[in-house]
Parts: sequence; structure tokens; C-alpha cells
Amino acid sequence: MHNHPLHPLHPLARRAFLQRTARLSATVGAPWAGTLMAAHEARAQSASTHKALVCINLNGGNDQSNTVVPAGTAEYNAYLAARPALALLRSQMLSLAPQGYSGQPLALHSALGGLKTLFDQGRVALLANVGPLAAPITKAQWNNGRPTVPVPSQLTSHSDQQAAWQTGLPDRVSETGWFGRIGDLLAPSYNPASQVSIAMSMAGNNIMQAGTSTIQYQLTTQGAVKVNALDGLYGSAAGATALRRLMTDPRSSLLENELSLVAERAIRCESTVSGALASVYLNTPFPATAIGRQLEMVARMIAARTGLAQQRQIFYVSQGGYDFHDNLPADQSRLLKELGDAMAAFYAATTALGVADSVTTFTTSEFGRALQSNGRGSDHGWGSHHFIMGGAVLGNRVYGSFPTVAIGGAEDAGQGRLIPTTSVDEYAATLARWFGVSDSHLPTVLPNIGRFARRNLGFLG
Amino acid sequence: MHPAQASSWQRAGRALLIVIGLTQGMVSVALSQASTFTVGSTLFNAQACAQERGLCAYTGSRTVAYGAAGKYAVRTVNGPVACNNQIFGDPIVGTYKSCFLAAAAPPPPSTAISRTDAARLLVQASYGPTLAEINSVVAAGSAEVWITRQFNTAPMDSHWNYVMVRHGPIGCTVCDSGYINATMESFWTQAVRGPDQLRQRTVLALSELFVVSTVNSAIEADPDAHASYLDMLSRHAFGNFRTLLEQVSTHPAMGKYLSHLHNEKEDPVTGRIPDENYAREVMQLFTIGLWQLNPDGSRRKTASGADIPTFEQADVMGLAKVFTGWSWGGNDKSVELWEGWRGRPYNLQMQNYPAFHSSSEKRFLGTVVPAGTSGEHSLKVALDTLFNHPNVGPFIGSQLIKRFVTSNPSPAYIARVSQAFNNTGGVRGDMKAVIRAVLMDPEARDNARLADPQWGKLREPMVRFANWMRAFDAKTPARGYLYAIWNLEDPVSSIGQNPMRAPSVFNWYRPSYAPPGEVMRRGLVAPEFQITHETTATGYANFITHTVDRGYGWNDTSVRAAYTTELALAANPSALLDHLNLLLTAGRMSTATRNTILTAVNALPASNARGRVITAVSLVMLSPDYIVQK
Repeated sequence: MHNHPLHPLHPLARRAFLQRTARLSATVGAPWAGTLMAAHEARAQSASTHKALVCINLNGGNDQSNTVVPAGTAEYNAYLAARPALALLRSQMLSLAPQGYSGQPLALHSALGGLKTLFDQGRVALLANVGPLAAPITKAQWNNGRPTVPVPSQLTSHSDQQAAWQTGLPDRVSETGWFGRIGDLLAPSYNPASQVSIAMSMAGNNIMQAGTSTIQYQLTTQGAVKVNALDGLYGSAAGATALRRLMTDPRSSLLENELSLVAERAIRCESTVSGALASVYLNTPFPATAIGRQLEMVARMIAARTGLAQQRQIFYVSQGGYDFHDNLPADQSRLLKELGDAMAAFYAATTALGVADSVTTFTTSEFGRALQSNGRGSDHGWGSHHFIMGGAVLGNRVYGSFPTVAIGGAEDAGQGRLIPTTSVDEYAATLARWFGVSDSHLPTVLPNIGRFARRNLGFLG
Repeated sequence: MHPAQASSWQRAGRALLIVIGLTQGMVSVALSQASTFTVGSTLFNAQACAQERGLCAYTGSRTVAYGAAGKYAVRTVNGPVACNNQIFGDPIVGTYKSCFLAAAAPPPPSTAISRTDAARLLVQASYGPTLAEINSVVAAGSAEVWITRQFNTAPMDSHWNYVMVRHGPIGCTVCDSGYINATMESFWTQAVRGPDQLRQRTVLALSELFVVSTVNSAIEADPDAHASYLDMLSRHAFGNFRTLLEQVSTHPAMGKYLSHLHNEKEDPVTGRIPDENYAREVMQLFTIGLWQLNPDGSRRKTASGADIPTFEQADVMGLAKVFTGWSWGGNDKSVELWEGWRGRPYNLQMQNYPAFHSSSEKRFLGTVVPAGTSGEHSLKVALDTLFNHPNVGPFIGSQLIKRFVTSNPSPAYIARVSQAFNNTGGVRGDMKAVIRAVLMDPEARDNARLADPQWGKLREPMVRFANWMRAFDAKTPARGYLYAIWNLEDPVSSIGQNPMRAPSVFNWYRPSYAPPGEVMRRGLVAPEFQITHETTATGYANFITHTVDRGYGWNDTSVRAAYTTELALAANPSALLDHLNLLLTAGRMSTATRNTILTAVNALPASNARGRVITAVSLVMLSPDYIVQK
């Protein structure tokens, strides 16, 4: 029993589209926005091709200093001196030879072997020292923690900095994230007939995928789950009917109604997702890790894009355990190996599916960590290094500005917590433009982008 | 004088003999020769049943006061009970004490409480109503009296005994529980069967506030760590918040989880700095939060309208020095013990090792601890500073309201709970006063609130499962009261949540979480929705329909309900629904929901009694009327 996606001209699809555009025009406050979007939509449907963005969030705050390590003699010695108990040995480093790069020699943590191969092949790029900023800031303006320009509120708080990364609005409360706002803009144009949200999560509810009209959809590493009793509650059709009504009927209580909305979505989308996945066969082996399983399901959902009626897809996955206050060397080696291996398998899968060029994967994490050691680990920082992977990526390159890895360095906010030299806004804008957000719509997705110099960091051309 | 006033006098800790005689509703101040006296609101025989170190002989469960001269420790235990400090603690050091049995007849109830109101109280304050517990609330006569009795009811067992001593349930013949699962067996045994239901629910709430977890954790496979930690929360749940905070901060499970166990002082030679983990989270999550608060929970503002942070990074770094030098407890301070080379005594609080404690000046939150101050004294100053911060009342109080009663309390409700925290009878941090304020608030008890479409909270999935086990007396037919419930967190096959397995120290849900959509637009919150989505909504439906029918688990350890009471009602679906409405929805099932379920039940022939029962139970537990507690 499969619900086929509604044809775009189906009255229900048309009504959904009108509701979306009505909401959008209410949001931007322009009565003609719906008309413009309709024109845009018509063009998009005839000419668009598939694209997917995949965010891998490293929960806890990855330690950037042991992820990408300065390999020159003097720079390595400064790194070693700053964290003697934690520093990688030279035997634990994989030297990089980035194209067009004249900065200090760099190496990757040896656990990232899978990623290193793809970096060398030009499929992975490194973005150095990126983090949430309310405005560009220099070390002088940081002023030893008495900043003279606005900075994100509650730096070094896990929850606040995760929200800062994901909303792109680090100095105020936001009800939406930049993935969600991208979805608001593009889903009506690219996925007009899809029953399933453009924003799909394998890692629980997140603010990043919350939009105004975009409501994120959760699925498991095995796909969508069916409410078994809807086929008959203990064999009774009357029981199943009652169950469906109880789970999905609108309610006057606010929280009860919220519950009904979730269940209605779950039941409605399940048949579409299960149906679309039924014909998908993926031959690429994935590691049997939590992050491997999530990325495997992302690959399957990409393979199922036609059945899902989706020409744009936004995925959110996560890997936990990065809060390395303790036992950093062993824990980070294990997690980075799981990450690198899973990412390499995912890239291989997109190649096998023939979609490597249309899928861009990138990492985020609430903060980097202090360079100075607490003996067994490191404490909450700010700027960090991140990876972008995909066929469209201009890889084997370093973007942004690699920081001085030493206490008292040019980007040191204290204890080697990095003052970011690239903002999340610039990182996100580069991804959003590639994904199809027009230059004029960038401020809708990233309201603070005008505060920063660059709208395109170049890693996607 | 109302009994509640007597108990508040006693809570004030005054060295005053509170002795009140209650005879047939008459109140008189008792003389020393009176035949009875009260502690709190409980009436005791003035004639001792045993002297200190003697045996107080009786059968069944009775409430016993132990002490002398107006200072009593009260426990409800099965007799006979040894009359000594090991059993009761020492309420009055250096004085010869006696045991006194509670008078057989309780004082007559001051007000009547309906069965539905009793059920509503139990939805909030226990792991769920049972007919027996509803009767006991009705017999108590009021929520107030029931709560007071619960404060004085002892746990049935310690988790430590189950896990480390006996390796199984009380009276087990095959004591073979091991590994981390033993802690979960003990947890569920007490949650489902414990007579101290309010304490059990308070421990759950505290375990979500002072989170230690087996997920991404240094105590992933240490059942003794979690057993001891739960016992510690249980011991101090009804004590003072200052003591609770100290016990949490020096418990080795927390020390391992937030890595301040074995945390070393700064070292200028290697550049090592103290680990900031506990210092940050004890402020951000356990005491004061990130923003300065008014007593009603709203944020204080600067003159220009900006929020005011409670602390900054420099405070974290200053406080981090306090949490250096702490490691395993024991009889000495040797390097072997510091390093943990003599095992991991999770049942002992951590102690400070001066050689590893920072002796430099420590500055945080406007407090300066001078250089050279000991670890113990530094901790005292730090915890006093946090405890006395004006944020604690609203910060902790609002979270307890959200765990027990409702997601969106009014500012006035939070302010009343803050006031109870700040000063009840001259005492700050009296947890009994705080919990009483949370549960006895007019908003919590007033049925007019039920008509408010924004009222209520989502029941936590793990509490829903406990509700079912309690309501229908689920147990393991072949193994008595073994609850082999080891891990419920798979969102597909189970309920997506397991006690002591929160994903991080931030718990499953932030108190400020709002699902995007109407709840967020109205500026409201619904914390439990952070783990409510397509997968968990579906997983819960499948879990309930399976479990209600076949029980939880496999083979001879599966936990099943016999539905004896319900089967007797199956011939009369309307009566069956009345019964489930009381047990599961505290009498507040909507007419529409009731009719929907009745239609499904009536569609089954009366001869299919079990089919009718499991259909009705499943549908009620999957109805929003039930899932959203009012």
C-alpha cells in the first residue's frame, strides 16, 4: 500500500504550494513574493538537477589542534610545547600537500586516513579556523575577553554555540536554522510534489533544519518505521480505525495537537519513504558504526530521490562523544577513525550512484577546543577546522587562514582558544549558493552575511 | 494548630520539642505524660517500643520514630526493626534514643479528596496510579497529608545491595544479576514496587538535573557507580539542597562523568591548566544557569534591556581550581588511592588530595578564595557561593515544576516555588519545602487549569512504561518481582529513552526546548518534545501495542500484566473505560476519545474478553489524552 507522490497539478499539491507561498510572503512582507516565487518555480522545474547537502555534526566540540597539525619543525615544536601530554607524535600524522598553498606545512591525524586519500584526490577541502561570529573581530578587538565589537553570546557553552552554528544568528534567539531557511526558499521550487520534507534528520530534532514552512522529518538508519497496528489492532480493523483517529485527529489542547501533527506526518510519510526505498540497492559497504549507518541511510535516500519526488535534499547526521575533557588521545583517535571511514564509504557510495558531483558533505561542531592541555584532555574553545567533501568540491586545498598553533598566537583568545578568522555565515553562504540560493536571497538564509566580507569562500567554485 | 504547621516548625530545625496531642479531633499541647505525640503530621505512641540498640518488634509495614527530646528520624519499614543509628541515622548525637511506633489509627482526614484528584496527584508525584495508592491518598484525606507520609517512607532497598551485595532482587533464589543491567533491574524494581513513590519520582527528576550517564561516558560499564549515585540522590532527595549539591559534586560517579575525579592543579612548567568541565556545568546546569533571573524565572535586564550573564570564562577557570585534587575516597591519601590502583570505591565520596589541589588564589562569581586554602575549604566556599546565588530557587524550582507538573508554569507559580526554596521557616534550600511547593501550588492542584489548552506536559516515555507496569501490576510470572528491563532506548523497537542513559549532561531535553511551530510561536516550551518525532512517535505506538499484549522481554524473564481486574470488567466496556480513565488519565479522558475507544472495544465480541482489555489499554495509552499529562 503505497501513496504515490502527488502530481504537481494535483489539487492538494497546488494547495500546499499556495500555503507555502502565502506563508513566505507573510514572512517577507511583500505581497508580490508569491508571484515571483511561482515564476521561479516554473523555471526550476524545467531545468533543475538533483543536489544534496549533508551536514555531519560532531557533538561535543572537536579538538581541532589534534585534527590538523602543523608539520613544519618550528611550528610542530610550538604545538608540542603547548600541549605536551596530548600532542600527536610525528608517526601519528599524515602529511598534506595542498595545491596552491604556501602556508605552514600541515598534517592530518592518522586516524583520518580515509579522508586523507580523498583530500589528495581533490575531493576533500579543509576550512581552517571557522566559527560563529557576530562581526569580524581581531585579537586587539577581543581585548582579552572584554571585546570592543559584538561577539556570540555564551561562548564556550555547548548548547548556545551549537545553536549559534545552526541558526547562523549567534547574538540573538532564532526560531529557525539556516538549513530550514534554505528549505523554505527552495522546497517549493524543487520538491513541489514531494510528500516528504526537504530537511531530513537521522540524528534527532535540531534547530538547524527548523524553518518557517520547513518541518524536519526524522528517519532511522533502517528507514521509515511503520505503525504496525494500523493494519489491524490485534487483528481488528475497528481497532486500527480507532488508533488512527486517536493518533492523528486535530486536538484543542496545544501539546496534544502537536503530538497529532507529528504522528500524522509519520504515518503519511512512511508509505512514501518505504515505497521509494524498496527499489534501492546499495552495494557500497559501510562501517557498522553509528555514523556509518546514518550515512548509509543518507545514501539510500539520495538513491531514492525520484521516488521521493525530491530534487533538493538536506540531511543532518551526527556523531557524539567529542567533548574531550578527558582521555582525549584515545577517544579522538577512535571517533576520527569512525568519521573518516564513514565519510570515505559515503563518498564511494555517491560515486557508485553517479551523484558524487551533486552531493556535498561538510562537518560542523559547536566549538573547537583550547590548545593548552588539562593533562588528559582539552577544554571548550571557539574556532575550529572543518572538512567539505564531494565531487563538486575544489579539494586538496586549504581555505580560510590556518592559525598560529601556539599559546599567545595571533588568533589566541586565551589558552589557545581560537578567535575565528572565517565566520559560519561565510561557510554557510558558500554552501547555500552552490545549492541554489540566489545571491539576492542569501540575506534571507543568513541575515548577518552583510557583516562579513565574503559570500563565497571558493571551495565549491 | 494544623499538622502542616507542626511539620514546618520541625523543618525549621529548631531545638524545640514539637509535641501535639490529637484526640478525637481536639488539639492540645501535650505534656510529657501524654499518650501520643506527633512528628510532622504523624501520630506516635509515647510509650517506646524499644530502647536504642534494642529490637522494636512488630509485623508488616509500620512507621517508626527514632530519637529523643524532640528530634526524631522517621521511617516506614517492615518489622521487626533494629532501633539504632545504622537503620535510622542519628537525629540527636550523644543522646540516648528510643523507638516509637506510629499510633494505629491515623488522624481523621481534614478534607476529602476525590479519587480522580488522587489519581491526578499520583500522575504528577509517583510512577503512576494504582488502585491501592489511589485508596491510600483518599485515606490520607488530602494531597498534603499523602505527601508528608511519602516524605517519611523509606526506600524498599538500596540499589547498592541489589547490585553489589545480593546480585539480585530481595528474596531471590537465583541471584545472578550482573554487569550494568543489575542497576537497571534494581531501578525498575523500586520504581514499580517501591512504597516511597514520591522519593522515586524525585530521584528521577534529580537524575535528569544532575545528569550522569552511561552514554559516551567513563562510567559506561560500572553498575556500582550508578547504583551508588542513585542511592545518594535517594538519601538526599528530601534533605537540603546545599548537602545534595555537595554530595553530587563529590560523588565519584559524577567525578568520572564530568572528569573532575583525578583533576590536577595547574602546572606552569608543562602549561597544564585545570579541567574546566565540572566547573562550567555545575554553574550552567546544576545551580545558577547562564542568565541572571528574577524569582519568577524571567531574566533580569540591564538598563538598556539586555540579558545579564551569570558568569564568564574567567569564573569557569577560577572555579576549575576548586575542583582539583579530588579522587577516590578511602582511609589514606596515598598515590595508589589517588590513581585508583586499589579499585574504584564508588560507594565512598571523593576526598581531596592536597598534593594535587591548586594552592593558588581562586576567583569566581565575585568570591576570592585566598592562596593556600585547602581543597575542602575551597569547596565549601564555592558551594556556599553557588547555593546562595539568587538564581538557584527559580532555576531549580522551574525545572522541578516541568518534571512533575507542567511545561509552562506561570511566573507567579515559579516565584512561589522560589520563595519556598529561599526561605521556609528560616531555612534556605529545604527540598521538602520545594517539592511541597511544586505539588501543592494552586496551579498544580486546581482543576480549573484542565480547561487551559496550554496546560500540561508530555509524559516522559520511561514514565509511561512505568505507568503501565504499576497500573496493571506487571511482573515476571516465573521469577516473581524480577524486572529484567535493561535498555529501552532504541527508538524503533522500544521507547527511545532509558534511565541513566541521557545522551549528554544536557539530559534528553533542555528545559527551554520548544518544538518549531505553534508552541514556539506562542513563546511556550515543551521540553519532552525534543525527543518526540516521527521515529519515536511510531516506535512508542509499536512498543505499546506489543507490550500491552505480550509483555516486555523474552521467555521466563518477560514482564507481563495479568489484567485480572480488567478482565472482570470486559463484559461491560463502559465500566472498563471508567476504570482505565481513572488509572491512566486521572478521570480526564475526553468524550470523543472515550467514544472512539468504546467503538473499537464493542466491535469485539464479549467472549473475547482479553482482546477487549488489551485493545482498550493500548488505545488509552496511545491517546493524546493520556500522553499529555494535565
